[in-house]
Amino acid sequence: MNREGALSRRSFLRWVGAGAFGLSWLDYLTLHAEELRKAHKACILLWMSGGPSQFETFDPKPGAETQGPTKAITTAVPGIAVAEHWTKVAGVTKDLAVIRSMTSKEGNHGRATYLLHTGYTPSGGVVHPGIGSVVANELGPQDFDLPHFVSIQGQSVGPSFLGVQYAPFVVSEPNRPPDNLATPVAGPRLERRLGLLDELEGSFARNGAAEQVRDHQALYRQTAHMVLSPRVRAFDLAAEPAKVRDAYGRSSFGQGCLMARRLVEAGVTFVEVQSTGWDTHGNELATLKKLIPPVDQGMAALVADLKSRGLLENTLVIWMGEFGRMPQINLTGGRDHFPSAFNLTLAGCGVKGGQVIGATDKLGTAVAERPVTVPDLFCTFCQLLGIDPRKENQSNVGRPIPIVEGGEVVREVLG
Amino acid sequence: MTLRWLRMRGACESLVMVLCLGIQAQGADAPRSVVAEVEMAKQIDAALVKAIGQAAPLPSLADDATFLRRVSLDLTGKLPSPKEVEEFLADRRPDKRARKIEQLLGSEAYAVNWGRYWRDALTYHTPASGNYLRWDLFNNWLVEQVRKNRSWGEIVTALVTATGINDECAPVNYLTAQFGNPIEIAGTTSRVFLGVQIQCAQCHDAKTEPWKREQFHELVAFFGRAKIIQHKDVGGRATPYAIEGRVEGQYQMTAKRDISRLIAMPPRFLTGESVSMEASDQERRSALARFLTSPKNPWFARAYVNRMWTALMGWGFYPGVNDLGASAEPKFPEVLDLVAKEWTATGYDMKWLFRALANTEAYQRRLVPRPNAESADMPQPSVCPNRLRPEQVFEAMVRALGFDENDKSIPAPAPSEAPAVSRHTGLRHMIYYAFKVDPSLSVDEVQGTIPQALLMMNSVLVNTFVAANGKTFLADAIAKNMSEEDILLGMYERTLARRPTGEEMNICRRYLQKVNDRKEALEDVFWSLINTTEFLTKR
Repeated sequence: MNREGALSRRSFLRWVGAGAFGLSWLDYLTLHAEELRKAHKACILLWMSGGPSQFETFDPKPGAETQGPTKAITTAVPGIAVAEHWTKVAGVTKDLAVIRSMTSKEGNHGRATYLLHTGYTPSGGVVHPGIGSVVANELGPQDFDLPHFVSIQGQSVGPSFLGVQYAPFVVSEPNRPPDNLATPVAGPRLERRLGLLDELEGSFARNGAAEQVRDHQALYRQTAHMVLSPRVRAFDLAAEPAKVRDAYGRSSFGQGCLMARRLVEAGVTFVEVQSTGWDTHGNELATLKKLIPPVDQGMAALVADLKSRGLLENTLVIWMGEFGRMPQINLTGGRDHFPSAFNLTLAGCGVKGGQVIGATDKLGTAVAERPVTVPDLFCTFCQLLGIDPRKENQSNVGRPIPIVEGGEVVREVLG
Repeated sequence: MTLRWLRMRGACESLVMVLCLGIQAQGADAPRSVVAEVEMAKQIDAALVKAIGQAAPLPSLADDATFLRRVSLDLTGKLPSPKEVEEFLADRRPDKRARKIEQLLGSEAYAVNWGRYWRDALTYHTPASGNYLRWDLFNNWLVEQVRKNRSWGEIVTALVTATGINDECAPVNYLTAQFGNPIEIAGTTSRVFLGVQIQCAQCHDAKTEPWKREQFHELVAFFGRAKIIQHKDVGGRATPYAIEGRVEGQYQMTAKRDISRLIAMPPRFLTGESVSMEASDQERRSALARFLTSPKNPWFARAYVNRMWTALMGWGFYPGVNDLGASAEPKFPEVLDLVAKEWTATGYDMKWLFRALANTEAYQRRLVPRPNAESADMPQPSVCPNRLRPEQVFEAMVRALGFDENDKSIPAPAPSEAPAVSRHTGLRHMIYYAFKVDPSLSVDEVQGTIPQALLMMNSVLVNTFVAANGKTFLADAIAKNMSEEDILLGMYERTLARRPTGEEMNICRRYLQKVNDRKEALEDVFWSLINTTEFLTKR
């Protein structure tokens, strides 16, 4: 695709014609995929919507009264403890960098989600693009037949002024391929239909709607390219052996992680997989007992699988939510929002694993060492992915906006 | 418990009534210069022509079929029926267009269409769940206000001053949908009703506008004594939320240089008008409603007129509807001022404005391309293309394909995570979800998405009903031995509410000859028409 997201006619025909040269579709595309995979970096964001409690995830305070009844467990890395229930993640801590000193001022879900997706606090005027769209825009390969940015089980944050070709393609249920992806008529008939459609659009284009017709045609070419591409099988988990599907766990989240791996393998640049329900204001223990195991299993399986396939070195995996939760357990047995000290985890793409960065105090009431702001975090993402954080894009309010404003790379992440 | 509910409900309704009567009384006493709509339309046309000068010739009037489809979609959200098209084309009366506008404004579909528009404009961005936003109740209330042609000033007043429980008092949902958060409510109130994006001054003086941080927080202070209450476990009512007044307390802004210091803010409006800090919740919000809807407030009428103008014309006096900007220069400022002034004098009569705009020649001319957003070029005094809104897409699809919305045999996969915006089930929900869009987005910012294209190209719904078998138009037409020409005419009529041009007929005939299987070829033509840009666009 060129910068406007329009697929050039030539490249479209190139795909269509591949079969004519004696090279099977699959051979041709497998070769190309190899090149793509080696050449470009990708990112998978595991988004914990609601704000996961650091006490019950990766910054437990065993013995402190603020910890509550959740115990801590040791992990594969001596000295790094995580909350109980995270037994599988405990097994892959050698590949993880845990940042325990995240801090922000946004305690409202909408605003904090925006902040942790864009690196900016929402202001009334500019609508900033989400990290998925930014990374897709920077790293997405030309002439690619799948969407650059896929969001599984959530809407994520959109591309704003970067353009609709960097909008997330939303998959609402990973256990079945996205709706309407399969063409109900054979490929040649679809192409014939598209040719007729092209001709019929002429009259409207000449009667005042040239711009609209052009955009519509570009969208249709992009969509048709995806529909006709064998690479679209990346969305079909039935192609995966049952053993692998079981390893990720048959939950939606687990299967979402598996789909993320397949998509990244196929050349998709950014995949977000959402888990909802972390906003545990009440009845926290019972809720987390059900919520954690699928995420624990999916996340650990993803990291291990990426590693064993040689993909981890070029794929950044991020686990995070919009804020943490309070040190005090409230009257309904839950914790309320707490942005001033929260945690997240990184792996892959140059991240030095097996380490903890920063710390909160003994009771977990504040950051004690090495605070990391959200702009710092975003500068770090850029560094790992090979993106210039100060690069400016033209915004919707007529002034250029850098990818990240302020902040500094957290050098410890790179080791 | 029951008594409390009844008292609160009574309080909500009677309060709204008292305020409404108050507003009406004001309006009746104010000097009136209500210009008849048709006269207003003439003045608008004259002002537009004067502004552009006589440089370029004006675009010609749109043909009847184009006008009918355009005005039907704009006013009622639906395409005209085939019978309506036939009758309108055959109608020889010189004022048939004005009569059609009148007829459409009197229809129930008009109220439903514009009630829905405001429902979406007011709630699109909230992630609120069904407890915070009683979707159907709020929708139906808005439809009712439009049906009764209630003054826009009264509607805004009702929304801003609403008190009570959100599953009883519909307008309260405007506040509970934003979690009762005074900052969000003030920001939305300013953006939607005034076209002023003052929320960017929340943390610091606005960079591109003259708003100071204090001004934003003084606006928030009008909502400073409204609080949101959660009513748990009230038999069979899920968890409704309510807005009640706090007896005391002040809204406080954090001092910029010392975040531990809080400054109590006086409720002061953007025009400088204020009320005492001792004012109660109702006093504050009633005052805000008065300041918002006062003829002295320059933004209220301009924001609405700009919004409706943009919706009908496909281009606006300002680049967007959300941001009239205190310093931005509108296009055709004299036209905007004229319409805003006259509309204010009517007491903010919504139907009056639709009549005035739809009866202009500008609205009735043929489609012209939208000028580049950055260019200083004046838009031509005509209509630019604009996308159909989601429920309009649904209506168009029902008309074109002829399916029953309640037909459960057609798969309508519901996303596992539907946002609070979508409350329909089945086929309507599926289309609505795929095409959903914020009505306040500028026209340039709305674009097609891959899931939309996939749905139109590959869905069982579309492919079943363009097919030449089953209970479909095409199957029926073939069974009846309709001529090829009649079938093609029928398809164009159903999908685009017009006749095909000579060239289009040739393209279709050539295609039919090229493809061996006649049934397949006809299906392909039908499919193509549904997938055109024009199907999704107002022309």
